[in-house]
Amino acid sequence: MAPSDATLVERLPLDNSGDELRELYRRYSGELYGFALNALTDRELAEEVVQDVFARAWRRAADYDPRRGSVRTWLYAITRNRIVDARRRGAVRPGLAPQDAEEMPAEVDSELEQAVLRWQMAAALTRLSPEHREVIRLAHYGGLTLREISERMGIPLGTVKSRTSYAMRTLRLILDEMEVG
Amino acid sequence: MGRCASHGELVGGYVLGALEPAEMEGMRRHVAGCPTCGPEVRRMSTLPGLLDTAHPGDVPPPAASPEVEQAILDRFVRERRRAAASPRRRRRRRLFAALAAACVAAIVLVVALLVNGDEAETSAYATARLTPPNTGSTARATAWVDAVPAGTSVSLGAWGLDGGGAVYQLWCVRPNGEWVSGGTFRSSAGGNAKAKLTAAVKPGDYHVIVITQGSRPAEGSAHGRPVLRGKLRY
Repeated sequence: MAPSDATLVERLPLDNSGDELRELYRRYSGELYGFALNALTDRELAEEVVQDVFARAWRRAADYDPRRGSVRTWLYAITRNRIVDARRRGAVRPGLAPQDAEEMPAEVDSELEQAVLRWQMAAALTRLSPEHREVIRLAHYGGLTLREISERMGIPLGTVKSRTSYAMRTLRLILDEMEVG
Repeated sequence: MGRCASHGELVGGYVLGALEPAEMEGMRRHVAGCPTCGPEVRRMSTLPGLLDTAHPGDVPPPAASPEVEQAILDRFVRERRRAAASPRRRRRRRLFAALAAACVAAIVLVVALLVNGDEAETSAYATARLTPPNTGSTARATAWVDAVPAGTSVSLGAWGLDGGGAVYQLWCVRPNGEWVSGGTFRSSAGGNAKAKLTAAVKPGDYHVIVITQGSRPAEGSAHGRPVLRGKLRY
């Protein structure tokens, strides 16, 4: 059985092979990179952020406390801080003393929190099956009733009703696991 | 938790407000008194607000380029190596072997003096992500730079180069425009390369690394055709 995220992090300080780090990277690099890219809109910067996040993760692995949150939440928090740093570096113009750019405006912070949430929701939706994602998309974003979805997709109304309920239950479980909402 | 046999399949549509008006009203009355549907609806009640934060056009996360994983693992191995030789660990050892401290220190000193003449890495290092100067190429490379007594040691990983053993040359470019060669290397059949090269210039005295194709100068130039270029980040 594959080790849990928390087990991987717990093993990181003793990992000399890089195997635990590689596994953690494979589990999370995609969504963290997507989040960083979304926030920074610069591929190279986003890749640097991802590098820094995993470097920090192995250096600070001993500080991770599973009682305070999941590994995903911990990695997102590190990513969020790295993004703030990357933006701060970008905001430091030649001639501007570094301490002048020390504080980020509050709205940037809040905007970043929204970006985290948005990206986590996008990541959660991608974990649904295409059928489940589609009924949520049509009902929530498309504003269609289940009857209209049934007609549009050419499937029985009863199937759409149960599929929608399963989709929402699954989404709730995924978000619970991700510690969102 | 069990499902409500009579109304369980309507819960999702109800939370999304996607039932017909009569069904919505019937469900509202049912949920108020049902010990199964009530808690389930409450658990799902934050979902519409959360869905509002995502955009329907949000796409699955794209993947970072493969060299990012390699760069992270290389960095990991390098830091592990450094950590193994950290002063803290040496201090701890001294505590456990207090009587041998003088001898150990002497041995360390002698070894350090001997190794110093070789290419012992210092703690200073920088990295450079190298990208093609023209957009047509997909080649990429990462260079890890260390200061060594001879100048600069560059560990290079490159991907997407011309395959079949094509020859490339690495250059460190000083701010005054002077190009200092770090030597040549060949790509693998698949267009990748890993090389450790040395240039006679100290990190800090240059900020740009360029890789050119071929070991001979291109026409009208003192060096080959640049295929990758990147700035050092300290």
